[in-house]
Amino acid sequence: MKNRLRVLRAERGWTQEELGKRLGVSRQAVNALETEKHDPSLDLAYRIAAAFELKVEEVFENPHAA
Amino acid sequence: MWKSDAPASQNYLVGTFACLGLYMAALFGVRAGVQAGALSGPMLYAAAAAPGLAVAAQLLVTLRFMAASDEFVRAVTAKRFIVAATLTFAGFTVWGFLEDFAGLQHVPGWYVYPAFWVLMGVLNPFIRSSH
Repeated sequence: MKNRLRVLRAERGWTQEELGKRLGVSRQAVNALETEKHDPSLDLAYRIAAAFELKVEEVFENPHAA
Repeated sequence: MWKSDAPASQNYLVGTFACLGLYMAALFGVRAGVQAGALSGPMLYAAAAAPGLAVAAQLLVTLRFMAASDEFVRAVTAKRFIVAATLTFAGFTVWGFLEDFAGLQHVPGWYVYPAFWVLMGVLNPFIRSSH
């Protein structure tokens, strides 16, 4: 799923490890999300949006949008 | 939720090698016991269950690792496990037919477990996506 994770993380100066700790996931999971090798669960998507203080649709591109 | 990456991975590695070690020790122990004439009858059947217990323990170690991991690691581990199991089943099934009908050398059934874990290791760098 296309997302702005890498950009948002870079804007805040966070490492993958640091973001992983904030989200409660491993660094590998953050890397997989950034490289679109993993689509997050709804729960994780909300946690990511909350970590960046954004809405889910501001972080992830809706693949089903018309 | 995922708690801490390092302890889960370390426990998994330690558990995996412990189970593999137990499996090999049980295997060679039973073989040595039979060759020395010390194992027969019910004792032999009981001893033969030991390698099976090591396999079951390995499965529990893997399930515990998955439970302690985050959703990505869990998904990728499940995917590797399924692909490795499929390749092992397919490979040994084909070999079995070739044994029966093409005269290939017999491969002992206890090769299945080590072959599966070798495949799990080999697949590791190739399966990095949960898709």
